[in-house]
Order: sequence, then C-alpha cells, then structure tokens
Amino acid sequence: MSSLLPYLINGISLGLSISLVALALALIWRTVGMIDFGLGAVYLLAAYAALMAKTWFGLPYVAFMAIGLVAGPIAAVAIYGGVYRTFIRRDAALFVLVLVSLCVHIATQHGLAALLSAQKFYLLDDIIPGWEIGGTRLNAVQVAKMFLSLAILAGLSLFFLKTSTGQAIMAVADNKRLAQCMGIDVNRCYRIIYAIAGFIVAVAALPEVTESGVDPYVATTPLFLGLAAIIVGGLSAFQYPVLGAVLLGLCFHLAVWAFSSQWQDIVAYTFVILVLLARPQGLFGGMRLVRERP
Amino acid sequence: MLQIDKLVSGYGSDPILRGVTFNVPDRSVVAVLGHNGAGKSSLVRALIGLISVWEGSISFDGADLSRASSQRRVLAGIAVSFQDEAVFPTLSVETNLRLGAFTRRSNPAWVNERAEHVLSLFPKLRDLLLQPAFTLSGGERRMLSIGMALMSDPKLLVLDEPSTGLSPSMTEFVFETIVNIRDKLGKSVLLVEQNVQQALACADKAVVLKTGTVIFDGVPDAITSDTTELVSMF
Amino acid sequence: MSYAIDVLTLAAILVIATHGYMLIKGLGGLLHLGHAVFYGVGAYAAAIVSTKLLPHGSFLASLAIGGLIAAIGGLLVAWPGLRNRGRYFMIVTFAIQLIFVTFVINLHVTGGPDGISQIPGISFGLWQPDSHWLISLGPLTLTYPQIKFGLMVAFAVLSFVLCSRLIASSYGRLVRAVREDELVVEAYGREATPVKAGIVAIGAGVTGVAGALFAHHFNYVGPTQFELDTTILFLVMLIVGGQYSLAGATLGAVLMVTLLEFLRFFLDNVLGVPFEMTAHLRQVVFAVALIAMLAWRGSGIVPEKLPVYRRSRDGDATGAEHIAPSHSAVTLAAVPASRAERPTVSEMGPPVLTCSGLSKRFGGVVAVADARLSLRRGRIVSIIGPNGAGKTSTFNILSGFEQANEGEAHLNGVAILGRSTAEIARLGLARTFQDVRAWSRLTVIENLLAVQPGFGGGLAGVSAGLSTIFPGTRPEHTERAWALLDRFGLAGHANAPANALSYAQRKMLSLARISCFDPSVMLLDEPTSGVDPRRLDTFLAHIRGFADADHKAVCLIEHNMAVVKAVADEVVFMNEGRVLASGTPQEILGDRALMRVYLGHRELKAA
Repeated sequence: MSSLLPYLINGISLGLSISLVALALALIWRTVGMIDFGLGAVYLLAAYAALMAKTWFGLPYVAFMAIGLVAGPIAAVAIYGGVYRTFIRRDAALFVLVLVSLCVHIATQHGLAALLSAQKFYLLDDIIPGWEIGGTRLNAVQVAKMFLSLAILAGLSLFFLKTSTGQAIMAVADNKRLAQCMGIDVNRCYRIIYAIAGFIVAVAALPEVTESGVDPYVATTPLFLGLAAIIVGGLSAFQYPVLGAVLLGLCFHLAVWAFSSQWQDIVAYTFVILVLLARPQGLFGGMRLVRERP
Repeated sequence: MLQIDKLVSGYGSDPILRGVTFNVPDRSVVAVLGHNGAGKSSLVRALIGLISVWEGSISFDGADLSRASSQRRVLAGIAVSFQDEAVFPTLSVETNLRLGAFTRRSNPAWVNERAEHVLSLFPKLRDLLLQPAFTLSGGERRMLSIGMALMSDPKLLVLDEPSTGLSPSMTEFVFETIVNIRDKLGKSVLLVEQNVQQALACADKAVVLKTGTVIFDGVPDAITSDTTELVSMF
Repeated sequence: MSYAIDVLTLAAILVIATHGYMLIKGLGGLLHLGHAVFYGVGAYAAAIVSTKLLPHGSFLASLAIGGLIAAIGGLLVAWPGLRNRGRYFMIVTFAIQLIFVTFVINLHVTGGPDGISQIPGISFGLWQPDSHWLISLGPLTLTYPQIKFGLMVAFAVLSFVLCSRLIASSYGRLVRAVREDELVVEAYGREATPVKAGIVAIGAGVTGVAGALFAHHFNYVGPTQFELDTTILFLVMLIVGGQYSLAGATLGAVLMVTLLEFLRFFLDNVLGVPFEMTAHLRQVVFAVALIAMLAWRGSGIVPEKLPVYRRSRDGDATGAEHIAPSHSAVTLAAVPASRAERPTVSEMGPPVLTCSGLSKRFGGVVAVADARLSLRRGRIVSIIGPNGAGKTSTFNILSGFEQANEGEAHLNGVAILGRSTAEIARLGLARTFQDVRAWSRLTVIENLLAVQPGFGGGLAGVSAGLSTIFPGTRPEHTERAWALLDRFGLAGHANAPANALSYAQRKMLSLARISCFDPSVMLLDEPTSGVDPRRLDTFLAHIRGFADADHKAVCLIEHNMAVVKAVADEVVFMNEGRVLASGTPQEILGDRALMRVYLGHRELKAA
C-alpha cells in the first residue's frame, strides 16, 4: 500500500473544509433551535454573487471573492428576516422551521437553475498555485481554508465567552422569553447569529467553488456533510462538530487508501450511520442542552 | 407609578384581558387575584411586552409604554419574575444574575454592587454562584428569579405567582421579602397570586380579575371581612 | 386522452404513497425527509424481482414483495433513529435520502445509473399490456390503459379503507398518544419505540406497494426518479392537503398532480418557456407553495377529524358540567370522622410497595439521600416537606423516570429499581404529573381508552395492536370508559379534545386516567395544586375513593395542609432527601420541631 501520509493530509484538509458548514449549522441549531437547510441557499447565493461580480463587472479575483464574502451574511439575514422570522415569532414547531428552510434551499437552487441555467461556471481560468506537502499537493485555496477554519473557531469562542452580545445570544438560546424580559433584543441577536453563520458558509463556499466550479447543485453535498459532521461529533461544545468533520474527512480519504475511490462515498456514509446507531448523541458530546425532567 | 387603562389584550383571536383598569402607586404592594383563566398571567405578559396591547394603554411614570419594546420597559424600570421557566438553566447562577442587569452592562461596577445587594437579600445563593441554574431546587430557583429581577434596580417588580409550588416556610420567606422590597427598598410590587390569604396580608391594595375585567379594586380589608362575598367573587 | 389517463393513473399511485406518508407524519408525528426512498425501495424491489426472479405474470407477488422490503427498510431506518425521542429521525431520513441514490447508482443489481427497464406491465393471465384485448361494457369499450387506471383507483380506494381502519383502531389511537406525549404513554405501560417503529414500517410498506405499482405502470425505474425532489413533492402533497387527515392527504395528492399538469401546460403553451426551465420552475412553485401553506395553516386544507364515541345504551349523553362524584359527597369536615372507620395497619395485608435506602445524586447535588416508604392497599400516605426535599425525585425513581444510585424497592414482591418506566407500570405502579400531561389532541374519552389495561408491552403490544387493526376498540373498554367519565363528571366533554378542558377539568382527567389504568399503587404528584378551593372537596372525595372503594395503595405529594389532614392516613415528612419522620397526621403535624423546619416560625393554624 502506498504511504498513508498524503491521505491523512487530504483527509484533514477535507475535514476542515466540512467543519465550516458544520459550525454554521451547529450555531443556528444551538441558538435558534432549528436545522437550517437554508444555509444551502446561502452557500449558493454567495457563490453566484461572486460569479456575477466576475462575469458582469469583470472584477478581479480578490474583489469578487470579497463580494461573495459579503453576500453570504446579507443573504442569511435576508432569509431570516423575510422568511423565518414570521415562523419563529409564532413559536412554530421544529418540523415547520425545518421544512421551511428546506423549501428555501430548493427554491433557491431551482430558481438559480431556471434563471441562469444549470451549467457549471468556473471562477478561475488558471490553475491555482499550490505546494507539495507530504506526498500530496495542497493548493493555496485549501491551505487558506484550513487556516480560516481554525481562526473562525477561535474567534467564535472568544465572542461567546467575552463579549456581552455573545452572552446575550447564549441567554436567548437558553430561554428566549426570559432573555426578552431582561431587556435583550432577541431579534437583533438572531440577526447577528444568522449573519455570522452566513459569513462562515461563504468562507466555506468560495474556495470550494473556486476549485470545482459553480452550479446550482454544489450546495447539497456540503450541507449534508456538515450535518453528518454534527451527527458524528456531537453538538454540546463548538469544537465537537469540527472534530466530527475532521474524522469524516479522514474517513473519506482513508477509504480511498484502503479500498478504492469508488467506495469512498459508501464507506463514509456507512460510518455516519454506524455512529448514529451506536451513539446518536455524537462521539464526543451530547446534543441535548438541558436535562429533560418529567 | 403604573397606570393601566382599559387594557385589551390576548393571544390568537380572542382577547383574554377585556378592558382592565387600575393603578399601582409608588411604594406599594398591589395584589392581583383571580382564577386561572381570569387573565392574571396575560396581564404580566402584557406589562413586560411579551404580548401586545390591542386597545387601551399602559403608562409608567407618565410615559406611555403601550407600544414600547420589552427593552424600553426594562430601562423605564419594570422587571418581571415568572412562576415557571424563570431562570437560564444551563448558565451559572452568577451569569443569571448578571443577565438581570443586562441593560446596565456598560457599568460593571454598578452591576457588581447590585449583585452584592441581591446576595445579601438571598444569602443562600452565594453558595450556589458557580452552579448551573437547572441544578437548583424549586425554592432556590424562585429566589434566583426574584434576585435577577432586582438586579436592574427596577421601580416596579412584577411577580407572577411567586409562592406556587413552594413549601410553607419558603412561602413565608417570599412574602417577607416582598414586604422588605417595599419598605426597605422603596419599590412597588405588583403581586399576582393564587395564595389569597398571604397576598392580602402584605398588600396595600387588592385587584380581583374575573374573565378579563376588574371586579374589585380596593383595600384588602374590604375583601377579608366578608368571606362569603370573597367566595362569590371567585 | 391517453395522456390524461396516464396522468390520472400516476395520480392514483401517488395517492397511495401519500397515504403512507400521512401514517408516518400525520398519525405518528414523525418528520421524515426521505419518503422517496421507501417509494424507490418498493419500486426497485418489484423491478428486480419481476425481471429476474419471478415468473411472468406474478404481479401480485411482486407488489407484496415490494411492500414487504420497503416495510423492512422502514424498520431498519426507524429503530435506531427513533431511540432518544426521535429527534434525530429527520436527520437520519435526510441522510438516507441523499445516500440512497449513491448506493443505487453504485450497485450492479439495481442496474447502476441506467436503472432497470422492461419491467413487465400489470397483467393477469390472458390480460396483458400488449394484448389488444378490449372489454366491452355495453356502449363502452375499455382499453388496457383504462382498465389499468381503474385498477389503480381500486388500489387507492383499498389503501384508503385500510388506512382509515388503522387510524380508527386502538393501535392508531396509541400511535397518536405517542405523537402527543410518548413519556406518558410509557408511564402507562407501553414502550414507545416499538409503536413508532411499527407505524414507520406500516407507512413504508404502503409506500413500497405504491412504488411497486409505479414500476409496473411505468415499466422503468432509475435513480433520478427517487431523489430529494420527489420527497419534496410528497411533502407538499401531504402538508398542503392536510397532514392529519387521510382525506386531506388524498386531496393533496390530487391537487398537486393537477397543479403540476397545469404548470406544465401554462409554462409550455402559454408562456413558451423552454423545456429545461419548466422542471426547475415547477420545483420553485412547489417550494413556495409549501412555505405559504405552512405560514397560513400548519395543518393543511383538511383538518384532523377526531373520532366521536357514543354511548351504546340510552341514558344521559349530555352531562351537564359538574364535577361531583357518584359516591356520596364527602366534605372536609366529614372526612376525619370516617377515619375511625378505616382499617388499621394491623388489619391490612402486607405492603404492596416498599422501598428503602433510596439515594440519587447528580453532580454535587444530592436529590434523595435515604428515602423509605411503605404503601398498603386502602391506605393513603402523604409525603410533605420543604422544596428540594426529594419528594418528586422519589416518585421519579419509583416510577422509573430516574435511576437511583442506591437502595431497593419492591412492588408486590418484585424488585423494580433499574426497570424501565413501562415495565414498572405494567407491574402495577402508576403516577400522575404535576402538570397533568393529558394527550392534548386526543379526546377526553380517548385519553381513557388509550390506557386500558390488557395490551402487553413492547413487541407483544405491537403484534397485539396489529391484530386489532380491524376490530377496533372492544365494547367493554368503551363501556368502562363511559362509566369512569360519569364517575369523574367529565361525560359531557367525552368527545372534546383534551386541550379544550379547563385547568380543573384537566386535573380531574388526570385522576380519571390513572383510575382507568387500574394499578395497584397510585402515586399522585400534587393532585390539587392550582385547583380553586371551592372544587377541592370533590377532588378529595375521589382521592379517598381510590383507597376506600378501589382498595388502591395511594401516595400523594402535597403542600396543602388542609388536604393532608383530610385524606391522609399516614404522613411522611421528608427534608434534604431523607425521611425524617412518619406517623399519623396528628403526630406529624402536631410535632412542633418538625413543623418549625417546614413552616418557619409561624405555626400551622388549625384548619
């Protein structure tokens, strides 16, 4: 068998890439309490915003990437204000919020396909510069993503522990009614959370589509992998989905190393299902925040 | 201090409060009594801004708060303590107290002073500062909830059935605390209660709600002296 | 014309699949995001089996196999996904929806990306798809497609009838109770997970049959037919039509097919939209329609229809609202006098429930340190004590909601610590909850019918339940429920949903429900809290009645000293997790030192 190292490196790289979407999903799940499939729509809108900036305005790489990064949070907050807020204010049931977010994703996906055609567009015409590390080639985009994920994770921890806005958000997550009665602006907290999640998703999306191109279906797999990472890792601390994502990434690439690339998906998904069977709360930590008392 | 005028409010399509009028003077305890479903809890929610005012008005120290956000009402000096789900369960007792003073978070020294003050009122909480709130017993949680409401140094404290589910000695302690809040701290307390006897014993004024309107508004003695009327009122 | 027949045939098939979805989501309350997988499994199973294994023409066998494999698939998906309160069920099903297509594309037996074609059409003996056989019915001549359509409609009607029977049966009622509050279902003796897994399997099976019908109708199955888009289509059909009603699900399917065709016509012919765009725009319309429907009415066009029960004998079917027991009314003043008539401890048999040394810690907090209790038939023990004394924790341990760290407890001689809630309930211990926890969207009489003793638990319950799909509720159970409603004064509200009752009525329902379950031991957790003083007498009479007339062993947690004095034969005083003292009400309530701990410096005034 060939050396393990390049597969490990690729695995960790993929894992950190998945971890961003996982983190965004975890953030909204823990604070708002919904599984936000609409982040797939945010992913697409960030990618397409960058694409439009490139094709319509002829902007250079850094400029249209910046536009994409800004489009992410704007889209997320717009979806919250325009769609979710009505349901959240009515204390809608979880399944309603989940279905609504799924519809947002589907509508965006097919809307983009109808308006702009479903073909694949590329953001970069040249090969991305990269480096040889440990027997495999990592390009600048992948390396940037790895650093960005770690930076975002650190930033989030600081945000929630140290800033009063972060604490207010934790309070809203714990007891929304009481938070409002303490004078916390719940709506503002939600907007901030969606903006943060939207930004994180944009950071995940843009490098990915730089490498693989933009089409209306690019968001489905990252969304699913982000969910899978939460299933594998658990939710009660923000590191857990990241760890789960890294494990998942390793699983994908080690499957190639051990079997062949044809079995990559199946092995990884089987791993997810096994974790779900054996430890549904995640390998590292609980998905439940407060003990349920009868 | 607080003037409620022909307040109409509720959830969904039917109003629960159908024209409630009464006032809470400075430095007084006003007891709000009535059956379940009479509108006591809705009144609390309307006061703090969880449900909106459909008709009528809520004025506090002269300012009309009928359309104000909850944040504005806390800043104006109203604070609420609920009967259930009254604390932040996974956060520590200390964080819970600090969140009570959220609107004054820019002044940490002031917040610390308030915390000291509240802990002197409820010394048992001092031993529990680092514990997550869900580990506290029912009585301790009630203390924490009232403490959190006091953290913002409100002028009006609204308490929603503070003695429900508490043992008799805890209940006595709660009513003593209410009297202290009025006498020693100079605040007003709007006390929504099922425990008629104890509530009337410490109240300056009593308001009885029935199906969303006020059927009695006056001194407690007027009620307790005539027990048959009391029963018929309910 | 033949196009229209084709569309209608497909509509009939989709109706059946939506019925299956209604069973899982509407009846079972389980959000499941992979319905196209059950449909696809049934379709592929039928396809594989009829092209490779079965002899030509064994259409019914193919249907049966499709349904069965889909049902097994449903069980496999449901069992792990539904432990831990089914919160992850939607994620599991979503994952499987996404994975399904990958699996199917990669496996050889499913034909890979090309799928399976040349599936034989529906045929019976001589009647074949390619035969130009026509049936003449007087002026009408029916072609094969038309007969096939009629057959599909027949299947759809059959599906409707069978699903309706299931919903109306006692198993269907049990599924709905699990949907409303599964913890309480377990508190009354039935494991929730097998019930949920069962309904998923049945719903999946029905959908699998629809998939098999589809395979034989369309003669081709391929991976792209069973992707997320198809699940969304099913979802829209179900939610828009009315997820809590079988008629609603049927309506939704028909409506959506109509909308689909209308859109196709409108976009193609009127707007001249290119073909590639049509499919995408259709999905956008569906997604937006679903959001709009959820914003307007979560329950869809057709609301849930709760079953109505009537009394079999003529007698008052209209009970006026009163909560008076049919026993002679017992007032507060009268009760102490009758205490002299109650049997003393020495006259009673051995204790039904004993426990000792119970302790429970979590984190650094000691909830229960050393609790002991002894309950006998016909006697009421009241536990009193300050907050945090461990009273409710003790109840939770005895009823299996929490696990003790140490100690032992025996019910009728059987050790119960460590057993599940449902097991303990079946052994004869039941409890009420401080916040009632009635099943809100079941009617009042259904709340009683759902706890009837008689079903075994666990898997036995499922098979017993399945066997009652057709017979429905036994008449003697209904009679008993009516009798209890009379006794507790709720007969006038029998067919009202439980969440329409007032607070006091719900508290009364709580007592009626535990009475219906007929346990040996009743643990009542603050049964009179929040009840206004005028109605207290009737509650006390019922509680006393449990001991005197029904010979139950009753234990109640109370804070109201007047209640304790009126009903209790024995008072147990707990503080800081320990039993400090026990004795008659006079002894305990008269013990100044104890009362000082409980009441503070003011002593109890005589009631």
